[in-house]
Amino acid sequence: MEIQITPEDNYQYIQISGRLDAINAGELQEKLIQLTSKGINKLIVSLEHVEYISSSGLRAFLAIAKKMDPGGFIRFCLMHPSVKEVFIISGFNTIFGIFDSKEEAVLG
Amino acid sequence: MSHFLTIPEEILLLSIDESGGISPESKSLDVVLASSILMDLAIRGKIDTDLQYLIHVDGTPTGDAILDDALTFLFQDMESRSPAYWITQLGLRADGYKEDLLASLVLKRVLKVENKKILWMFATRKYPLIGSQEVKEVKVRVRDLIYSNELPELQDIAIISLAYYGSMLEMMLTTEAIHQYNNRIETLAKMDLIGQSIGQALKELSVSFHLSSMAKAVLGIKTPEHKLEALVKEIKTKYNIEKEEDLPPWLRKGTDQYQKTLQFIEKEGTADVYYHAGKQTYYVRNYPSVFSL
Repeated sequence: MEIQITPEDNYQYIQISGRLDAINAGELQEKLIQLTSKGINKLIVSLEHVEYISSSGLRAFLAIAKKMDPGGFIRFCLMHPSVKEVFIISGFNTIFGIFDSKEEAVLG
Repeated sequence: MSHFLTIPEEILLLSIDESGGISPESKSLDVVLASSILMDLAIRGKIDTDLQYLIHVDGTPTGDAILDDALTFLFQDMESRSPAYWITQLGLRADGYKEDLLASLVLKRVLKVENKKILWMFATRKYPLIGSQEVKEVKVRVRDLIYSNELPELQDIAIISLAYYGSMLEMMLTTEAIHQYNNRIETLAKMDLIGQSIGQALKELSVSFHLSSMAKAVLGIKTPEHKLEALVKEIKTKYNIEKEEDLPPWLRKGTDQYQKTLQFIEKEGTADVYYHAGKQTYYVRNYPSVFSL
């Protein structure tokens, strides 16, 4: 799994590629929580290049969201269909915003 | 995990009624307990799940005897199998886990043991609460979460998912609250993929399970062989097991262990028994089930 973090005007753009499972969910969680602990709590996450997500991956995003201050957000865009299916079946689509493009995610 | 009680301990605690008995109506309790063990192991990073499979991650012990027994059992078979398969397999060991969980809750001074006799003849064992703090704490935590829009803790997702898919919500909420907050409850329950497998496992629990047990009890089954065959049939129906090889050795005809089961049933005069794999010992159930009718 690779994580690329790009600072934008009012948010951080996070691009993840590879599998998101028990092996690397901890690393992702740690990296993004490091951001939130610095007061950076507006994250837009592209999952365009993530073809697989397990329960551990979902839990990592939940843990990150719980660390955010009020007013912060974590939004997803360009989600791979197989990952989107997991979000929908697990109901995570009802607690996180999922958008078709980065621009839509910015607008919320 | 910072919680004083494990997920299996919390859910078993919720199923204990005011008099200290485990609700005999909870025929889904075995499945729920098996699932709760998997959920706890998942939160501890020992296993992982996706939409199809349970994935083995880390077989090192957790330090909790019950979870570690299950973890050892899971790691004896590294094949890719569904969470529902493992719920069934652990469900077959649920009687042993129930006893161990009750013992653990007694040790943690949450429950006490009361041995009584009904009509001076029939021994029963009850597990009344020493205080109600732990049960209240679980219920308050869960209610607060359901009544708010807060993001949930993992352990609370697990408890809600177990209660929702195991039809045990009434233990925590009033009927009115269940209806009023149904959407929120469903959203939280779905968040655990193991929880969703409970729904699948329970759907496969045939309604005929209870009815056929009643019929057999009324008709009467005389010999130990017939009693054991009936027990095996019930368990196969309950867990939707088709292949003999998916049965544990103590219920699998032709094994040495099956003969030992037969001997134990003959000695005790009842098929209301279970085998505790960890202790390698047979027990007669201490609480009512369909076989004690």
